[in-house]
Amino acid sequence: MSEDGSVKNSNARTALFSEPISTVAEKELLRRVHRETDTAARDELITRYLPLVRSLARRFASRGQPVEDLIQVGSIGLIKAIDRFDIERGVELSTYATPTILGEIKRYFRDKGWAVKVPRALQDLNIRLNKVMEQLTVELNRSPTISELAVACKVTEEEVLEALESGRAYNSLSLFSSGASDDEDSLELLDYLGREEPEYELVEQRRYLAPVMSQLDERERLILHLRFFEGMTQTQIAARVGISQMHVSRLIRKSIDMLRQMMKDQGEDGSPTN
Amino acid sequence: MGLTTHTVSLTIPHDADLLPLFSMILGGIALRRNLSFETLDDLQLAVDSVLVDEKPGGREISMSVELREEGLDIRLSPLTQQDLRDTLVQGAVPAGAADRCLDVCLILRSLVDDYTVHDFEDGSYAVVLRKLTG
Repeated sequence: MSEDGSVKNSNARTALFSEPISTVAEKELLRRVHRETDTAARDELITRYLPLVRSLARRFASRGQPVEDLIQVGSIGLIKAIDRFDIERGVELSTYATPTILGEIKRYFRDKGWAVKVPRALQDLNIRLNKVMEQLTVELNRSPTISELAVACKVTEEEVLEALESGRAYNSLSLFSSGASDDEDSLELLDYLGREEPEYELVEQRRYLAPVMSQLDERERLILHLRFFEGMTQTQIAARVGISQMHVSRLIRKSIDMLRQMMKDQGEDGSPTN
Repeated sequence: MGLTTHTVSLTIPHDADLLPLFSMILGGIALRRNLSFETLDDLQLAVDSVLVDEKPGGREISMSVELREEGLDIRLSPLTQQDLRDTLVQGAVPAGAADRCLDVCLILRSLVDDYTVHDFEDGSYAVVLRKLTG
């Protein structure tokens, strides 16, 4: 039962949240977020509501995208809900957040996904590989070989190669896009995870590269920095950033493609972006 | 036991739709050399990074992979993109191109162990990417 005596939806709430949160405590956290810009309160709300995100994301588990990815998409919806929530409206955050989270996930399915037609079986195998690769990486303490992936997935090595290749057709998640984003209000996961790399000092090309890099989102910049300036492996980056190795691979490719294109555009315009 | 040096070559019309064949070849080699997914991915990205700005012009492009005991040499030729050549030779994007070219050296240094440029008389060139796997 909540501190204000309300018992409404108490069973559902305790089932979804890692620990029961009272309406009063929630309101206090929201008040601190909106009136005092209290990031700790925001983090607390995000943490408390992540089980809700997971629960909603799992509803889409059969649609061919990794649930982990959907949870990340849903997390963006959660952050938006927290930031846009109007305390005076008299509804609970869960009521307001649920459609926002679902909307974000649905938008992801609408906008993203497979760029070209890839047979469903290959898509499924690619998704399985994603999971198996993570498991094997932890188990073996290194990136697995093609043969190891094939054995673990109970498919042929050629099928693994084909699925990995077809994975290139997968539009990697632009969950955290900025600049070219279609949603100027997009929030970045790292906003609440904290800034890990405040400086991205580059070498010779930094004067030209820096403004272009700034158009990538924080996580993409971090991943590029760790890979190409810190010399970390994809496996190490995956562990540090908290995403799968295949996702790191996709983000690296996507970011490099974006940088290359932006620099090309910049050169054609004859006007540096800074 | 020493491994005999073998070379696997593929020549294709320079067509964006066919370039993924190089990736497939690398995949097959990675499988037979028991390379990790990560190593394969690095090699594929390195090859893509070299080829990305090459303009198709009705010509052919080749990839030869020399399989040696200690690793692989991937030779891409003939290439014509001069900004890329100059960048690789100088180890950084030349001053005149720094505003329009992503420094591929930055990328290759992290993906392969060495790279070299070999000029041809007709002005084209080859890039050899070396990856140690032993």
